[in-house]
Amino acid sequence: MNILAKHFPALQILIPLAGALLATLSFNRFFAWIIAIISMLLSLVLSVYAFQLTKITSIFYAFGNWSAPIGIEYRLDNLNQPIIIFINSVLLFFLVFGKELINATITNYIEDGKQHIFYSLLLFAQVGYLGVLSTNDLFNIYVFIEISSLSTYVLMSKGRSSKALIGAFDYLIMGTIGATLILIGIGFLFARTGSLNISDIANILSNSASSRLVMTAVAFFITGVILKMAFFPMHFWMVRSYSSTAPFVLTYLAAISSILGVYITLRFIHFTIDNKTIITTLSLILRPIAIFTIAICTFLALKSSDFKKVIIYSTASQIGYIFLLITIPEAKQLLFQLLIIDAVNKIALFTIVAHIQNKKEDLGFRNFVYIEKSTFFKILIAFSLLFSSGMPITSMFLIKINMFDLLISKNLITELVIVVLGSTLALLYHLKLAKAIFFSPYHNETIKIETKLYGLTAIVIIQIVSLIYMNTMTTIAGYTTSVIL
Amino acid sequence: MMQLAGPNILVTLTIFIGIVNFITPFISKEDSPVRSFFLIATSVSFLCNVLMLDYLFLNGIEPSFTILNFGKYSIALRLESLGMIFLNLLAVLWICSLLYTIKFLSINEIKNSNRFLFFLNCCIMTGSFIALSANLFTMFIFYEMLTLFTIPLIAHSPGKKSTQRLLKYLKILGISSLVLLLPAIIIIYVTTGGGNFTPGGFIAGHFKDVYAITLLLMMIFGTAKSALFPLHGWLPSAMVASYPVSALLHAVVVVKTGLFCTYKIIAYVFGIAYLQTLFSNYNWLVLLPIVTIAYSSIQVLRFNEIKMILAYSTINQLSIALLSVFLLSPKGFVAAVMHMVSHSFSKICMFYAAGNIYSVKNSYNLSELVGIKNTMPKTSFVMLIAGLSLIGIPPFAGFISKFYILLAAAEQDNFLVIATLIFSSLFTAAYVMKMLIFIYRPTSENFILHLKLKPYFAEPRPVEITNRVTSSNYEAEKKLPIFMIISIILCLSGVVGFFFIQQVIVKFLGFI
Repeated sequence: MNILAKHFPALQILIPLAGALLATLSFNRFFAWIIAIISMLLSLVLSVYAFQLTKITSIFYAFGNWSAPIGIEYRLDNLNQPIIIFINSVLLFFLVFGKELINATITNYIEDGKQHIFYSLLLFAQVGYLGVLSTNDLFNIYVFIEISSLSTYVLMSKGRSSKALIGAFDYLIMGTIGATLILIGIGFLFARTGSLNISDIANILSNSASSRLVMTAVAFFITGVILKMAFFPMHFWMVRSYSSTAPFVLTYLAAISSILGVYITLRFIHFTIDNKTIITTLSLILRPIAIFTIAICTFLALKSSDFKKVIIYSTASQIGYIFLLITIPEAKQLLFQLLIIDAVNKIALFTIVAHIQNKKEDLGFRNFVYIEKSTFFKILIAFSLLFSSGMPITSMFLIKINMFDLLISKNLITELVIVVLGSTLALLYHLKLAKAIFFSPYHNETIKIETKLYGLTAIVIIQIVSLIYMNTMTTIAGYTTSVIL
Repeated sequence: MMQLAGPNILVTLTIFIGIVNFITPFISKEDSPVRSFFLIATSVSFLCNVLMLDYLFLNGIEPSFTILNFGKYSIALRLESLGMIFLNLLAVLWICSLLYTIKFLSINEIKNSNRFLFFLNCCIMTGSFIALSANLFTMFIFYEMLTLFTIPLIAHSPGKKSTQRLLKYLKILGISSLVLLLPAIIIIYVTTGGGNFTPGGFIAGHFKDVYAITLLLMMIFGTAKSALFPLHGWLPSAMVASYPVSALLHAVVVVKTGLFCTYKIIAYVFGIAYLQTLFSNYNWLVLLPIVTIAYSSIQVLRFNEIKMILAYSTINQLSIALLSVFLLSPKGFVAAVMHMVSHSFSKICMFYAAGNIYSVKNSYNLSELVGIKNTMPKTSFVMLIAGLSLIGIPPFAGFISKFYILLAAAEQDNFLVIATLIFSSLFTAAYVMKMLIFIYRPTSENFILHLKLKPYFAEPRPVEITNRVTSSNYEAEKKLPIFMIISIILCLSGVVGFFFIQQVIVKFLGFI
């Protein structure tokens, strides 16, 4: 128990890592699955335990007893610990409820002897994400970004369609460029301060006047993050690779990637650099791009001719909303509500796509499949579409209300108009999705959903619960009190 | 839990009884006496509860409580006079529409009647929540939910045409409320710090005149359910649905919700006095419904389809109600409420009569109405009365409400409004006469004997019952289920006895 109490920040990451290695050595799909579940369960329990401690005070953990400026330091506080719990539960959910769909849509297309590797890659990706979240060291962030990216490249390349490989290659190129830009940004900061520890850098920078070098570093870092997150001008790779990969793996990746991007941005901007000097500059640049993203991506979503592409563009447009909220300091609570709720909605939508695409590869609206008999499935779809479209009364609706409220009280009228238009277009493309599912003509190809619907049922229940307890959850997570902004 | 003390229990109980009716369709067999009994018993006890609430309300008790609280925005209910009128209307018409719909579904062999009845009950209950809403946010949420609950009803008999029409319906209603109504509501919440309905309005002094007028227009057009001119297109589109649904949409919940929300916004958000100062130079607000009246009066004459005529007639009558409320005087407001109720009764009679004719003999166009006089004399008579009431012939409902509007307009010397009303009555007379002429056109015996009816009605009745041998076509009306007849008689009594209903409304409105 003593070890647990002392070393939990490291164990949180080491348990999935050990799980990943064990899964590689298991040589069996089923054992790998069991190992993955056990290690995620342990990690989740540990992160909930850690959350109790971080609520009281931030925890600093020096790796191998090498203290801060020289050694690597982990920092757990009330910003990152709730996110750690969230992404742990996402993966656990993915593993527990998704076994059937993983087998049907992903591992069946892998050679027999290598199927267990899928689970170990999942765990490696998770290690990367957890590392990015926990560490307080800039270079360490870069290392963990690379660990997670390398595993996701492989995860994305698997699936029914052979185009998935090309999509993953696209992602590989753009991801590497993005990571390089991030590394350059870190390099500039290192040149200016001589340190890699985030708190240390913040200390040094606050004692000296801001220089052009720091600005360059910020520019490189933000560009890299934007590229990684597929924010508007760089969104093309995401559309290409997401639309060709197996949809079920996206329930995990799409849910986590944007929340991680936001975390890195927040950590970097608001911890390293005094945020008063930078927030106006950032908002001047980021806000127009965010507006463009919302306008263009929702429009493209409405215009696209494929069920899956609509959802992917919708994911891209949500990144616009997220960046719009990042530039408004008062929006912290709202930002995290949006991130979580949107992630849950996207999990639901991609699960639906996975269920349908399991039966039929082509999801074009022109000859969309007619789904036979599955009344329960259709009810679940109706709920998920309702929740994701932001019709009253859903959590997304409340978030939109609060967003309108915020924009009006901040006098940002252009932004308000765009957000209103964006949500209207969102309603329209959800109508398009609903039309495809519920009113597809009888003479089209008919499919019957035979996969089990536990996962989708669970996610719909989570959506309903999250509506009622949305404010309570953010209060428990500590996001109502403004700590960093 | 303090909320649940005293009269609030009664409100909760009323809602609970209404919700019981959601379950009934699923636990009983299609078209079984058990189902009919439970559905109707529940709706009758709902009406009794509403009457008890009336009693409380008239004795000065105004229950109010919050259901869910999201910070500044909350879902709260409160009893007030305008809402009570609407709630009573809904409770009465719920019984009528259940009586009618249960049998209509079975004789027209419409499948999945449990789903149909479930969503019908949902619509009425949502309407009741709108009637009870205590603030703008609650009103908006249930306004949107009503749109959602009507989808399965309209889409109940699928087809390519109906899907397209349904999408048009959803697009117009969804876009208008999201783009216009919702931002306006949030602007009001942010600026004034709340949105609770207050008699006399709470907005005065918070906005510049121009902004206040813009907000008013956003809200008037945002409640597209009231079908003002550029946003009226959803109403004819929704006509693909079957007759009970159309009756529900036109006469009972949906369009009446549009009107009701507009009334509430004008009376409780802006306040009539404040609006009078805003429009003190020239009241151009009345021009909006006048354009709609002119447009729909001319459009309605173009059609030969019964449903389309009824759709444009509804648009026309709704604008008359809006015309009256836009006079911005207390008298005009009372007249508008009158017209809302009177139109409900006239239109529901019209629709149910048309539904009867459709059940007996598939009829879509006016020309197919020929010979109805002989086969279905009572239904034709209901059609006649409802038509006369729509035109505004005394002593029926339409006359009384139009008389109130004329009085209100005369008080302001507003000749434009008076002229519009007369113009619209003339056009109404024209299209109602067109229908009546087809129904009452003299026909030869031979024609009626060879009229093609639906199989169920074409079978001759046993001789023991009729005591004489005659053509089955003359007996068709007798085979209509008794429930449908009762329902129509109830509605018709509303049209004929509107004078008494009018007195109740005046009593309630005295509380504003």
